[in-house]
Amino acid sequence: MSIGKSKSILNLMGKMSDRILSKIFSYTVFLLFTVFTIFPLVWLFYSSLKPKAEYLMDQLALPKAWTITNFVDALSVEKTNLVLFMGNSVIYTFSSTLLVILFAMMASFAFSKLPFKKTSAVFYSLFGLGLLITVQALLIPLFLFLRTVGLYDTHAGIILPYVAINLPLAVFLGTTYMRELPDSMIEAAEMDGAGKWLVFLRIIFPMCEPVIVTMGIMTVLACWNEFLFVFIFTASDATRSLPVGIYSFSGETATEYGVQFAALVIGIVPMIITYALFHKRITYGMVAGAIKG
Amino acid sequence: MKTVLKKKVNNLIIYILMLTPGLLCYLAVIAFPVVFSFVLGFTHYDLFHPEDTKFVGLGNYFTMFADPLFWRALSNNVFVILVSVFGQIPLGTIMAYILFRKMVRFRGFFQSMVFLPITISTIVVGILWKHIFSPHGLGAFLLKQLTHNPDAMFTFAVEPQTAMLPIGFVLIWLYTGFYMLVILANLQKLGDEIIEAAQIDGATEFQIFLRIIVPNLSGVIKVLSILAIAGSLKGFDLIWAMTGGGPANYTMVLPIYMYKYAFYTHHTDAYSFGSAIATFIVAVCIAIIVVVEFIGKTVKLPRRAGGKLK
Repeated sequence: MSIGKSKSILNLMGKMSDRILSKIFSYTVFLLFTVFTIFPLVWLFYSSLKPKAEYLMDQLALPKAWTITNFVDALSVEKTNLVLFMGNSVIYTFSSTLLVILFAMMASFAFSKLPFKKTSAVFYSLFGLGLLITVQALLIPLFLFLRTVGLYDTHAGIILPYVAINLPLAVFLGTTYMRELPDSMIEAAEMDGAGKWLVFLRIIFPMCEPVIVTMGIMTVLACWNEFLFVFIFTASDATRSLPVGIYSFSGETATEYGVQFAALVIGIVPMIITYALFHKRITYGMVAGAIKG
Repeated sequence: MKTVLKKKVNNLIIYILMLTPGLLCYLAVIAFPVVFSFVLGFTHYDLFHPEDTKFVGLGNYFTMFADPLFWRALSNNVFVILVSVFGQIPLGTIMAYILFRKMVRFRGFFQSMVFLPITISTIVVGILWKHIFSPHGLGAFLLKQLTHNPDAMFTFAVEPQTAMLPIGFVLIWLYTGFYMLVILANLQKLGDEIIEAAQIDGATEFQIFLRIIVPNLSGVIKVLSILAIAGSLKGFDLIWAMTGGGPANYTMVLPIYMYKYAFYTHHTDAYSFGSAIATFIVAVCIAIIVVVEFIGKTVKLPRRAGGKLK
């Protein structure tokens, strides 16, 4: 009896130390990650509000004389073009996203709800191959192509590649989703004399809202943060996007720490706000987008 | 009969109209350029004498394999792959398990903190960390403060042997959250029953993780490894922003090697040789995907119910 009891106490103690150890381990890992996320961002924010002289004296201390001159400089139209770059980023992101959603929805509808299954299978797998493509394979031919057709250093010359590169995933998500939609509603509408276009606009679009949101989030994030295409396919400030603008700015102002930090803050804040507002949908969209096969 | 035919023609017209915009865009901007780049990689194309373009077979590839810089770039890419597959994915899996088993509180907060970096522009994140790891940056300052030695040097980001370490660190910080969330989503599909059963049998958390969770996740982990490897091979932004491949090419990776040759250093054969490098990157990606698929098929881990992807 007593042996059994001590054994069960030992067991219980083992279990408790197991739990305590895994708790300590768990908190350590997550706290480390949290510190490495919060600390650089907080440091960046207050450093951007610090005069340059103070930064050179002490990189860590909070500013003694808080100042917004860095932001005034970073945003002033005479000194930098960050405002222009931000406008370009907005143009690229929104036009590309709208076109990706429209084209992907149309192609997905053709693949999933119209006859010609064999043709669809061929083109669908062609889009599927696009998921394997690395951007490096596109840089040189697209650069030559855009120069030849006169789209180098234009807005259209960025939007076109953005649409194409984001289409495969959107078509995949859209087709997978639409295949699950019941045909009965389409048939019912057609009985009432609705044409395919009307069906597409009035029935398919509203029913696809969740997948459209996912496509939208994926494309907005990808375009807003994209760097390499704009870096290579543009040459003037009139077409640069925010990431490329911030990058060149940081090269030109290597020792102007305060202004540079202000520019980084300007690049980061919109994403943090977006993430705070839509974090559930963003995480869902990115996770769903990753698991494409 | 007539109406059936009319309907068919009508359907075909709609089919063509629906498919054309996307397909045209895709063919013109993705499919055709990829084929073009592939072919260009087998030629010698002189920028100033395009009329002399000639087919050189694997010539560009032989030149590439003879270039020591190519091998340094490749070995650095292997480092990035190892960090991703043996750093990000295991850590992400462990962290997903911790969240799934509710071993910490404030799970929503922790989850956002780990995931947040991915949503920020990689270029911006790279510049931020550059300032931290720079010999005159925050890291150097902290080292001087902590060691009370004003001459302490914080140079491991610029030393040949250690220049890749800060990049490895930022890679883990940046991408682990993504793997954590994908695995967490799959754990939630797996359900609690198996774990509860194992607990009744007296298994520790560590045993449960190793014997039940990992085997059940093998399918997802395989897919994530493919993603991680492909991502590691084509990743440009972070390393470009942090080091630009420097100092003295010590952090060179294949995408930067390709970019510099094609657009930066003004070689006369920039486009043909650059295309060969790009083709090499794509070929390695596809080869690794095939190998991982093959390993996944031949090495069958014991798997219990559920846990399959999708």
